[in-house]
Amino acid sequence: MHDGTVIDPDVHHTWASPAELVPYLPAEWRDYAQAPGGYLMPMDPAVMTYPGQWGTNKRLDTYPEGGGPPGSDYDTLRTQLLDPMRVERAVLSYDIGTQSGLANPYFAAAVCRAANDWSRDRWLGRGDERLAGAILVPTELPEAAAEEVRRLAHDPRFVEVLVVENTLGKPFGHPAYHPILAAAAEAGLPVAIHSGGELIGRAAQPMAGGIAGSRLELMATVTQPAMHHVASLVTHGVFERVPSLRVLFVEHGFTWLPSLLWNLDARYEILRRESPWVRRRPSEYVVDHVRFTTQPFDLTRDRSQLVALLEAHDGLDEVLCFASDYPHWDADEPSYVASRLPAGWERKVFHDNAAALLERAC
Amino acid sequence: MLTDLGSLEELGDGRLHVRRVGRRELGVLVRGDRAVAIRNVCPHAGAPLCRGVVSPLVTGSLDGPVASVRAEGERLMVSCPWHGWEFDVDTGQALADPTMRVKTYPLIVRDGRVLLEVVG
Repeated sequence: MHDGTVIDPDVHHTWASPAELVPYLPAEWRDYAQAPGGYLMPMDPAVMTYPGQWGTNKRLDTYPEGGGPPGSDYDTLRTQLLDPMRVERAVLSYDIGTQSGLANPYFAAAVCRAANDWSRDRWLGRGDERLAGAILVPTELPEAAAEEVRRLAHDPRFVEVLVVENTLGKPFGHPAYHPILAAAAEAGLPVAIHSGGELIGRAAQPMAGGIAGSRLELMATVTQPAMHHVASLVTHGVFERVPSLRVLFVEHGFTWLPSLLWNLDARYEILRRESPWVRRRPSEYVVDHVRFTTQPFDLTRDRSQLVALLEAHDGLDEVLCFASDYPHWDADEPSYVASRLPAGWERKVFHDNAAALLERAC
Repeated sequence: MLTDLGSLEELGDGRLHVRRVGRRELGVLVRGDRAVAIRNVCPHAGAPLCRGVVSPLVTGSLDGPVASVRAEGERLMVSCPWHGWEFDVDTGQALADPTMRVKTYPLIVRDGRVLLEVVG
């Protein structure tokens, strides 16, 4: 069990109403978004959501008593997560930051900026030092995304760059996304890639059969994009180009990782013609540069199965970072996760790995 | 010893009402002349079970060209508000794991009151 403090890199905060963002938009986009009579256009792209058992993907007890969606009320978040879980730092990562998937990329960029300013003002400005921010970036305009990183990087309350929407239909290691990765590394910030970016708005084909038809189908297959993103970071030589870059995969699970690393390691030398810049074993790049949150925690029937898998590949004790995913329905409880880890991993997984990754937060 | 949980008028709407009895919280469910209390702690991860949704058991059928989902009327389930584990409100048994059970207590409806017999 883990009896220390916890760093939680995946906490979903949100606005009580999209109207909260409007004051943070510049005038030209405020007029674009609003019509007389109070109509406000959607500030999110069309979202493919999968309810749990009851029309929402949130825990039912996280709806604030005063109204508003889960994650919109600081006191509810504090009493349900920060205080009982002994959170040392929580990275606030929107719900889930799909604004870069809005159809008009320039409006998307403006909404991302507005969201960051809203977060800084309404949450980070509260004075609760446990709260840390993520710089949400417009992925369809990588240069604009890099500008947004540079705009906010000086503020130590922002501890990561948040990438969600896969708007360009390429894996995140592809050169098209390089300006974002480079800007983050230059600012000393890790890039967090949150799952779901292939399911929302105009996103590309996420799985072999397109969009999953049920929550269960989704949960079983949501790791596919992450596998491609990780492989692409290696095959495009990202960590050779940007040696200081760190990447955090959020909410993609992790038990698929040993299989991916074994396959990359076994073939990278004989398949080197297309990626001769891969100079080290792929697993070394990943263990050195990439981290993975534990949520959704893989639920093996027996603890020994998970322990055997995790201990089968060196270095996995260094790459896992506990995350709750509060207030989603499948949020993980620390006590359960702690009970399933190999002995002695708790301190690293619940604190030290994330602390090292999010240097500004700790 | 009988503990009075409340009036039939107050509790008899087919919804779960949480009541504290000693150190425990129980969800009280009355439908028609049937009354049961269920412990307000999900055995899976400790969630407040009775803040979940009560609904008839949903089953499926592959008969015919199109699969169908339907809700059976008799058997009621409470779904945990955190991870969706379903428990039979009368037996407390988890649908996903027959070895997991939440404690239930039969109640007495008498003279318009809903009563729990507390032993010891």
